[in-house]
Amino acid sequence: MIGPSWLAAAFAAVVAAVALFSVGRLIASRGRRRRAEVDADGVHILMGVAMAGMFVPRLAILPTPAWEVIFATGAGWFGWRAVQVRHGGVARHSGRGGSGYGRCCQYPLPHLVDCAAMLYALWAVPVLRPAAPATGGISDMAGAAGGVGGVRLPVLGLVLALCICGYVVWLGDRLPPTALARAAVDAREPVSAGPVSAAAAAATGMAARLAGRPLLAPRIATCCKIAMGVAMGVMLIDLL
Amino acid sequence: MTNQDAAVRDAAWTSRAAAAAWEPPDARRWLQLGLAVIWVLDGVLQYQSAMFSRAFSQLLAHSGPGNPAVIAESVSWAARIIEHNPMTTNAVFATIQLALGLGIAWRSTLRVALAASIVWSVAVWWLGEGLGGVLTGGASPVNGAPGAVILYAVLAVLLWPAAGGRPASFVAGRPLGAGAARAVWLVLWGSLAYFAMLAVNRGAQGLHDMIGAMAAGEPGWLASVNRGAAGLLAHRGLPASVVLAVVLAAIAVGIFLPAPAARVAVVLAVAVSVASWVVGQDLGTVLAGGATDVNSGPLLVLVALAFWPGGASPREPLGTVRGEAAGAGRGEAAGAVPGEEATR
Repeated sequence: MIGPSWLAAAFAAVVAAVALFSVGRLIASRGRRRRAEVDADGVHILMGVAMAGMFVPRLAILPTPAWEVIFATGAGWFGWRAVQVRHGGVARHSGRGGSGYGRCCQYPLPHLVDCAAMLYALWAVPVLRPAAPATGGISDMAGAAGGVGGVRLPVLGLVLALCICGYVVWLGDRLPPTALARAAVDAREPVSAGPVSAAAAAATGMAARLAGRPLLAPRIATCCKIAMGVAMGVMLIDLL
Repeated sequence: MTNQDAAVRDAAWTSRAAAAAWEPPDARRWLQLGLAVIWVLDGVLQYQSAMFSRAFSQLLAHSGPGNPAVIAESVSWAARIIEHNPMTTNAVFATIQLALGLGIAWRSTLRVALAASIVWSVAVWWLGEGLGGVLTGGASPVNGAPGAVILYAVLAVLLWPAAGGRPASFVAGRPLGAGAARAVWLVLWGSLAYFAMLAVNRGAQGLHDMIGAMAAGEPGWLASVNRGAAGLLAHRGLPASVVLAVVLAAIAVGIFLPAPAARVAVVLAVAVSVASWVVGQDLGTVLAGGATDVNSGPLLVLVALAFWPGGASPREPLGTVRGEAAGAGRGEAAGAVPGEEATR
């Protein structure tokens, strides 16, 4: 899809690795008393598989309509979750509770954008669709898009790419520091000093989360989100 | 207590430490993040298929002619290297830009990334843009003079997370001091006013031709904007250039006025930057394909916002661990990803 084949293969490897990590996180979280983000990890698995097929066509495993249904469903889910979170369902949905929401991600909006971006990538190159073989799916569409141009609503693609770049930077800003710096923080501000930490936690809505199980490998998960965002941005911009 | 219980307890303990240490962005940090977004977008743009062809090196080579020999020869030298290894060099360039954006976003590497961005920007401005055409007589504030890439370096300096900071009512004044920062503003916007009056711009059809030529390859609505603007400027190059130069000069000196007037100058700077980005730069020609960056419009907006009177907060600069001297460099804020505890 992009540039030289080795670069496309490298991006495919990155998104596939993110998908594999998400699978592993979901499995490992069950036996380690840690929490995963079932919906976010799930959509990363699907995105990883779909995008790997877009970068390297021979890796495509589903036809385009199937991916459209999948990501439309994902968009609907995360849209609904975003509404729920907006109406104060954060603690109830992300905490330990016995409901199905207890394992959902805290911030569904970026994943809604991810699903929308996948749908856009599937929809933006309509001219090529009739010529695509039934099993070629998005890989053929996307593979040819870079050279053909004429995508639908390029401004929408640009806006989505901007949103995703913004999300990548937003994640980077909140990425925990190196172990060295964190050790310095821990040494200066022991948590047993209570009130300040508790107030900060409450202010950021963490109280409910602290009552439940901590997330499994959040730092690596954040890096995976960043990697997926960069790959998605590259894919969208190359479609334009 | 089992090992598993201890691990869970430690995870929660560390997460509370991280949550307590992480501070929400202040005005300067927001501008740094804006700069990071543009760097990331630049990296993504550089990964486009077209950039891996020889067209990229040819694009660079075109920026050399018209410059003094030392500049032109160095531009040709760089273009030849890229021409011989287009795929490798472009992949490296794209990755560097991406790394700069991510480095600015991550507080642990903020200073290193800003410093590296200055070096990279100056090198690209020289070797890749031929100093933005400022020595060729062909520069125009409408189409991106003095070269977008040098503005990254200017922003890195203006947004540097200086320890302690100097007293200033605006973000850009904290690392340099208000006087030096205003001097940077004066030089930047004053030079744009000067470029507006160059012969190539003040000719009867100068701006008309420049904007009209931008329409090629753009989506219909943007091409219509180009054609409409070009029509308005037909045979009015001189008066349009004079008006533009006066506005830019007013912006340049406006920052020295009292706060209310300075705010007007900043708002005017933002408006001019956005207008030129849409009409004269076509959103950096991103929609036409083949753009290597977003051009100068968004960067000038960031510069202008850094001079917003009252925009500087008095607290310790972000990008440092709470209570730690900012000059330590390695110790940056402990960020906790919202919704995610800071555990491994």
